[in-house]
Amino acid sequence: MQKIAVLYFPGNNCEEETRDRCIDVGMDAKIIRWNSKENLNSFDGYIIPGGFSYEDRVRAGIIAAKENIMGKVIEESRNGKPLLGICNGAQVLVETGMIPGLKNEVEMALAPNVNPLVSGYYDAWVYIKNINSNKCAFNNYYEKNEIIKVPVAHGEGRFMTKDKNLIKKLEKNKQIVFQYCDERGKVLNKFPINPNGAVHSIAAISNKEGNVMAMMPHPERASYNWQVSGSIIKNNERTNAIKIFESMKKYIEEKIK
Amino acid sequence: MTMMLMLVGLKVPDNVAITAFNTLKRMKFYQLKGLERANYYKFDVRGNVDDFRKKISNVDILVNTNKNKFSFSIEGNKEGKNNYKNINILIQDNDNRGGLLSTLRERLGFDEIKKLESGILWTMSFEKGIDAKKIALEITKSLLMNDNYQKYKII
Repeated sequence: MQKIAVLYFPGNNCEEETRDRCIDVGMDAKIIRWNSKENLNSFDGYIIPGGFSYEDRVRAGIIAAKENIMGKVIEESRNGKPLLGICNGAQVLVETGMIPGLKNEVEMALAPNVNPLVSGYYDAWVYIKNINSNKCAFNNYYEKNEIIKVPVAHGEGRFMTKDKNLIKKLEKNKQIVFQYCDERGKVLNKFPINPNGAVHSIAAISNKEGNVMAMMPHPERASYNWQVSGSIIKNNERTNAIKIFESMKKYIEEKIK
Repeated sequence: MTMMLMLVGLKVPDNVAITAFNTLKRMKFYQLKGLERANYYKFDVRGNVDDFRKKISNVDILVNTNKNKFSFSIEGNKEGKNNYKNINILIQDNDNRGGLLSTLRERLGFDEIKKLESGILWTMSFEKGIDAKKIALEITKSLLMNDNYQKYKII
């Protein structure tokens, strides 16, 4: 069975749902604290969950990005193991420079939202679509342009960069995995379809190799009908958001084990 | 028009500064001896500045006197304690959207404010005799700022 470490930093609050979604798709998942002495090499993949690690002190994700445990996780991901950052986890991955990971420096930021209604924290249900051709470890069960309904909940979720050529490079490398869109799949770079003002309506980016992905929306909170806001059917049937975790499992089966 | 500076810090221990300091030690910046943080506001105001100072220091949005200390000058931050040398670095977002200015003017009636700049002022203390400015810039770029949306200024 695929072993997943869900990394917990003080202030995270989505570690249990994230672990449960891994278990739901047939993986063995365990919450690992930031100061754990457990051997991380024994895991097949890693997830950094959402929340507010270190209360977002200094800048969301930056303090966790500098923790010793991240050095070990980065080393393992360089060997091809999958690493997913969700929301605050995405902020951590961007601050380590692993996303987009084209240079040995921090090339992007998850900056404070641009939102006409509120400054700071904002939560809402949004649509994202898979624009990547199944290159990444977390989207290989999705059809191209498949739409997912997921929640966002953050104050600093605006993907941006100072490098004017970076977005073109990311497109060329197929590193932009999910974009915000309307319910029909049309990408419109305006609020509320793009809930935070992210450049190019980016909701998730992978590294060039496709085994590391930073995504701002929360698939672990939208994996069953009963979790989805506005869903008429409130049963235990799975939604397509759970395919993120199913894809991770498949990637490990095919590439790691 | 008169320019007026205001620095607002905490009377109680500043957990953000303490966490940043501990992280920098873990990143091997052993030369850093102290780190303090303050909210920085630079106003361009019209009219009587003394009256404005009294009014603005009673606005709970900027200062809660139960927990905040404040000053109208940076001179106190330039002088290091214990014979240390201080470096002050201001971090600002590139796209300042003016939300605070509109709150102060439209909701609280501060029509005398014509312009407002804000940011976070970090005061770093180093032992004398080392290249404190160089280390302060390394610290800024590696932890205190993400230059994809922020900028810094030594003041």
